[in-house]
Amino acid sequence: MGIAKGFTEPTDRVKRLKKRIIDATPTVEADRAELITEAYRKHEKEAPVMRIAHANEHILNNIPITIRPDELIVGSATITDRGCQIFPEYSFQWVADEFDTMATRKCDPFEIPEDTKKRLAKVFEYWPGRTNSELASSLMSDTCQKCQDLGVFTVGNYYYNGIGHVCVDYGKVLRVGFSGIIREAAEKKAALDPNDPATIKKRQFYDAVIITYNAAINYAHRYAEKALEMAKTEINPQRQKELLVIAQNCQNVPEKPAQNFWEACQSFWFVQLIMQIESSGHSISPGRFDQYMYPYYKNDANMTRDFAQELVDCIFIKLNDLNKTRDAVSDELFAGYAIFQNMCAGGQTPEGLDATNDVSYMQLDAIAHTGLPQPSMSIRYWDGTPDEFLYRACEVVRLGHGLPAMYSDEVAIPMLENDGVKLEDARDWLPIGCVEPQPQHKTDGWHDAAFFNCCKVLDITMHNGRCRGEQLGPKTGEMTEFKTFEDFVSAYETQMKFFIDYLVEADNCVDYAHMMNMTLPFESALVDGCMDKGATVQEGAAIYNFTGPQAFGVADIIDSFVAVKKHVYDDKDISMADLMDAVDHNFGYAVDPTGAPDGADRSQVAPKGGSTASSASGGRSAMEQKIWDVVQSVLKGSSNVDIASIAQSASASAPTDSCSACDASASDLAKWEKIHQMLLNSPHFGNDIPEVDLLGRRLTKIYSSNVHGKKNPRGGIYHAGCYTVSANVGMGRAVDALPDGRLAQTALSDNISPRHGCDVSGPTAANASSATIDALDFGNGTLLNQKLQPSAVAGDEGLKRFAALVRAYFDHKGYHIQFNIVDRATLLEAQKHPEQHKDLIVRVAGYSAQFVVLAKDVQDDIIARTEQTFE
Amino acid sequence: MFEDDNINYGLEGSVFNIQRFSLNDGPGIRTIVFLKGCPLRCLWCCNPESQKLQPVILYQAENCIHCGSCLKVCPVPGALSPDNPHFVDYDKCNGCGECAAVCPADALTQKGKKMTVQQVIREVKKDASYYRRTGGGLTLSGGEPLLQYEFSAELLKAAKAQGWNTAIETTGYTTNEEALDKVLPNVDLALLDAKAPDDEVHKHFTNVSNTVIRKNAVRIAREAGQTIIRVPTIPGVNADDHTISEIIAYAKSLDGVHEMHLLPYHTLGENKYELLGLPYRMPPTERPSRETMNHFKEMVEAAGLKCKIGG
Repeated sequence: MGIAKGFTEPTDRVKRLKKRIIDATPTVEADRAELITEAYRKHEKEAPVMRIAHANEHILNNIPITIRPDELIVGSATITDRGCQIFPEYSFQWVADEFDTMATRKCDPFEIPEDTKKRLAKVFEYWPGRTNSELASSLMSDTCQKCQDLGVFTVGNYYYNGIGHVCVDYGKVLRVGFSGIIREAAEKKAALDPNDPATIKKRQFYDAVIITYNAAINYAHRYAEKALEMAKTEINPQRQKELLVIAQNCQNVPEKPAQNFWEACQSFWFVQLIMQIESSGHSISPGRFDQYMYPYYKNDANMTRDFAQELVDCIFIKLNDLNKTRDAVSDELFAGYAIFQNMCAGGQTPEGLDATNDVSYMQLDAIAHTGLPQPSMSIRYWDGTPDEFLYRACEVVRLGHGLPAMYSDEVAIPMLENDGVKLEDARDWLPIGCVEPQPQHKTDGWHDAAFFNCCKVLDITMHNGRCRGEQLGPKTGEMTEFKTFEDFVSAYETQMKFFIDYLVEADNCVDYAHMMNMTLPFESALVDGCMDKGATVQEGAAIYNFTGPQAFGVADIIDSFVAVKKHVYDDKDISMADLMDAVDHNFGYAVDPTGAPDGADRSQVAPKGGSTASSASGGRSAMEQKIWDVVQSVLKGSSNVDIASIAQSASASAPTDSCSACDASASDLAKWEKIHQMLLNSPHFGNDIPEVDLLGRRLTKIYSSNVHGKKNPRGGIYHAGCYTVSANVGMGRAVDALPDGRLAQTALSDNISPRHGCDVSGPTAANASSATIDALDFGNGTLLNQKLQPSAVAGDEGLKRFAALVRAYFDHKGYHIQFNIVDRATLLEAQKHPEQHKDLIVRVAGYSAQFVVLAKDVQDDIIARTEQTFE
Repeated sequence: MFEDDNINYGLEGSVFNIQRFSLNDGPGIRTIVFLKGCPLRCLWCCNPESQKLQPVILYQAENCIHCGSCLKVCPVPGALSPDNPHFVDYDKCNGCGECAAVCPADALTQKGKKMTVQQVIREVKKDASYYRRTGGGLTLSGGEPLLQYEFSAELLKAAKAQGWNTAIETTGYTTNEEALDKVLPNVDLALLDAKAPDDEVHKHFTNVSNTVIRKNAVRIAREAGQTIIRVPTIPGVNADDHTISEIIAYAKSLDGVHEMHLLPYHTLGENKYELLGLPYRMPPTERPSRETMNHFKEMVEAAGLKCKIGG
């Protein structure tokens, strides 16, 4: 027996359930929006927490329910497979605006049937002036708004949606049931001191919990009745038996403590589901599933391993049945119908012992069996991780689903302690959403607080605080005025601080809006601290409170500074004036935001007077041809050539009629292209060059150290993150040309990965560079993508090597790494024939998505991410 | 690195590439240091830029933006000219690299630079954690590492001093016994080529006789920690049952050889000839099929040797 164990076939049931998900056409439904609007109309005058409790009650009692064929774990937010509900209380205008385009937009299209449009249009009449996003807007300053409009940062995630990004106490529900939670709320309410003014508010909270959890029990009972009713007419005796057990399960849980593994699975699922009915916040992360589920498996005498595996497989598929629509812009940032339910396995116990158990392995096998984008499956690695577990995880990654992602306890635990988390809580951490660490069920992490566009700030710094002509930041000097490289770095730091302050303002405005308006009783009862304090998570009642905004474009920042330092200040072979001239003219290239993400295949515009037809031929610009002709003629008989005279001669010989593409002369274009090439061929981050990487560490710390420790309204602190999801494509459009040779409006670098195609020294060098960024200073997480060819990890030798690659990256104190094991040819093929590649899953920065549902430019971006070869 | 470990860290050699994360040239994850210079001229050679001991200039026309920078700095009249059929005139070019240093577009690159033992080891050390995790280390390749044997010997000693596994990829060709004396004591694994048993064939395709190689092979197999015979499997040279049998017999005749690697012929190096302005003189040859390779593998295994296709 070798190291690789291989995988069993999933059951036919699991195959059929998976097929339904893959074949589903995501569709919008109107029921939740109608029900919440009815409840709000009726309870408008009440305190927000009670208003939401009544809305929860009205929704859970009345929303249509369904049990799908073959299901063993039941409960769906929508009647259609993989459909979504609408949450108008957060924002609605974008839904109304996209009624006619949502089905055809390039990222994450959703069908909206005509009838649904009508029903929603009616609902939306109520909401103007009442949404949470409007409240948040009313709190923000003009400059703060403008920074967002111009693409410096976006806080759109929580601006238009719920917060989510939490791991609630699933284990508690398994242990005490919803009835236990109701009892606890009632006891706490009874014990309140009537003379304490705080009692008034606390009483509202406990009442809200009791109302919500009673409705939640009733919601499960509705499924019990449905299952009984279906059993009556079911002709297949096997299915009939299953339906009867389902009915019994839903009668028992989540009301009561779970009595066996199947009940525990069902009870878990209701928590996961109701969390995503109460609010539109995504990244509701099941977290340490193996830890809270294992006792129910171990103690269930009648449970076979095979059936337990099938139940876990069913949960994995159900996690794909939940879906969310966002506005078209946000969907480009979170492409791939992603709702980031991060589930974790392995790691250590709060006491610091190995936590791996049978369920951990079942979770890995479930990836192999289902191969769907959800859950975002993660493993926690530490020096004590059993080889067997790491090998198994590598064997699963090798299948090419992009899962599981791998995280190091050796970084995460001290990182959390550095942010004030107690050791035993830090050891009980899990990744939320993409990569964000939090101690389980004790934390309101506000993890995806913003995307902060460092490259936009660099662009602004290079123009003395101007953003495309308009003064937005402070005046820190024109580039030509900087005497030393340090002057340039210092100007960048000043601009960063300025915009980080506005980022914090924007986040805090949105935070206040949720606190005043969107206090959630279902979630709060399952986060430690809230029941004791008698207040919601949104009001700061969790044990740990953070705000985590993400920087992106760091490799572009590093390469840009390196290029300026080398050419302008060290080698002095480009003057700052020439560099800025070239950058401001986009190196003579046409601006094409829809083009190839790395701008590699494009040509410069035709020079003034040049023929536009010839510019298109053979990928060679007309300018180049012209220069070459002149070089040929000038060079006859001489090896001593003055390039300026060539260029002059070129422009002099050009006809004078104007070119519609641009006014540049051939000599300008030649000069810009030379500068462009010099910049593109400067040393790059990602090649393990100490001078480059250490400058990179310093530049990235400008973001993290200025974010870290800022205060949020919930009594917690800010800490920085560095990952992009897919924001590097969309928000790249706000950024003009950069001194690293990147063309205007093209994609920026992703996460802490090197720029595409710039890490030419192999994966160990790329890893070493990425590990130079101080992960411990990025408490909200950093993310490294790596793509490997299947041949590289083939066989037991390949598996051992793969595991060693992971361990060695973590030796270097990397925090997270994830692998795409796919070849370029497959991806290109999938672009051409999406219908044949529906099951191709790729990791896109912290989550997996079906490749074929991604927008074309996001697909191109993935293809361009450097393919590390194992020849 | 210690000053008193009896290694000459200041010794210089000529290196044309250092490739990290190499997986097919010895155990574990390795770094290959490619050394300049080879006494053989194998027609199929996939690293033609390695053959001369002196640096060479590669010219990639598609990268050229015709900026003229190189023309201004070239010290040799006529070595670079748009009138040259290949832009670089290799009869005139001395490989000095002035042009490559100013080329903004990576169209002109110099292959081969002087590095000290210390500089090489510092670069190789960057992946030390991977060697530790996988039992990997340093592999010297080329060119022919026995040519710059003093430099090779110091590199291998320095690698052993770090606790890394060491390997060489060698043709086995040297006429200097001292090269073997110095290099072999620090070699954990020798990957020793066997190309053609018939000396006429060997001379025709590699430009040297195999007599001295056969003689050296006996010492290499005896003195290196372990020796694996590597056969570039090439139709028209050795890819037939008869020749493979002869190579197997030869491998078995060497003390301590228990393993053979069959490397199927490929033409990945062909375009480098163009960049160097050299003709590719290897006659058109098919890549051996998977079936053929498996058949040879069975033959090797039947003879009681371990066998792998590819490195």
